[in-house]
Amino acid sequence: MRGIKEFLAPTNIEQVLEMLEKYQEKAVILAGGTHLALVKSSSAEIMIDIKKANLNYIKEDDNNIIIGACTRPVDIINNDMLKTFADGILVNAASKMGSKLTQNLITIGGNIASPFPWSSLPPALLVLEAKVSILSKQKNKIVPLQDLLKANPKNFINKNELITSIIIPKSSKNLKTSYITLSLTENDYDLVIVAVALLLESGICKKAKIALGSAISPCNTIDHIEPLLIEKKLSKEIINNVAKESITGLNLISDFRTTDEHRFEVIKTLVKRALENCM
Amino acid sequence: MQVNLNINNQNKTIEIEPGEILLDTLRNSGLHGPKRACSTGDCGACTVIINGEAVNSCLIFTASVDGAKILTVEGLGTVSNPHPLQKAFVEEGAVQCGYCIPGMLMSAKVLLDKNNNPSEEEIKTALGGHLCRCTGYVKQIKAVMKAALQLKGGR
Repeated sequence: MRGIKEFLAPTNIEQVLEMLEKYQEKAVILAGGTHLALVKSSSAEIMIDIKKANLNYIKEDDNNIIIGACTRPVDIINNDMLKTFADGILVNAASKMGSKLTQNLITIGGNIASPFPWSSLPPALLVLEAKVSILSKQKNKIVPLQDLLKANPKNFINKNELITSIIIPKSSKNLKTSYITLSLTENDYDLVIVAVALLLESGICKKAKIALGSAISPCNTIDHIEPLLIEKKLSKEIINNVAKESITGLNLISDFRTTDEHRFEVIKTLVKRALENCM
Repeated sequence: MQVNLNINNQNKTIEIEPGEILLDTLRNSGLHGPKRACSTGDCGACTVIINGEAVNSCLIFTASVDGAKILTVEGLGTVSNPHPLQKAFVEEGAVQCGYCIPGMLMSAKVLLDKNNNPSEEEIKTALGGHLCRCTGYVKQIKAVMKAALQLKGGR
């Protein structure tokens, strides 16, 4: 990347925050680098590599699972706790991310800080109602991921702030989930991502979240379908109705990969399949 | 700035630009095995092994791997003593233009280091990040299976 004059590799968060405070817009944060490596030149002069700042971890406390910002898809895939948490939705999403090669590089924090429409983890994190911890020297903000994505992380996160972890409530542990994608080949960018999480009690749906990726920008939940599922028993009829209504009011991406008309049809089908998987 | 790298079992101190990409560092050092093709992490032609993991060297800033152990195809085997993977790729006719092969070999090596009896599905997943525009993938999958057998029986 042209323009970078100094490379810094802090070994703890305090050092990172100190540097961000000092250099502000002169600095650019390097995590996995899969986005930054594509940028040919930058107005920033200092690159701060946060990979050695102890931000690669998956841990839990009484109420939450906490995933460090530099945790990679391969770390999520290999984590035993996440394999069963909410039917393993995060492991499924991480497995469908890029190739084995990029799964060793991408970070969960980068997937949120520089989200592309096809970023794999945000839809799964949205249906788990994840929050994001953002730190600066002065304060610690905890923001719902949905709010952060809607606001656009690039505008929301100040130059002296850093995403340090993703917080997932343990109350999501027993959700029935499904994560389905459509792409032209297994390693190609997804045309549509559908993530579903349902809280079912004796077959009755008590809570429902459906998120879309690669089809709308930014990736988001489609909240208008929730009332169609709440207090209902999942049946073919209900699922067909939700699938039909899932596209109402959406402003879909139409690009060289495929058209919005195609994405409309694909969303209906994937929502139906995802709900059937949860039955 | 300077970085210390162990490349193909040789310790090297290399002068780099702070924003330099590892693929450029390697190729500027005379290692032309890792290839530049897409430059976006989509094709796998630049794959190298860093600390035991196969990665796209076109997506890595050299300064971020200061102190790392890097293996390129040049460190895999020699003409007189090729690695079983290299031998199997030749024997199976898995190489046509050859541009994608150094990268594929590195991913296949990581797979076989961890799993000496991979299924076809596991090989497909391991090679999933590599594009080949000549032969397709059938012979390369066969070659990895053949190398696995050879490695199990001793090199």
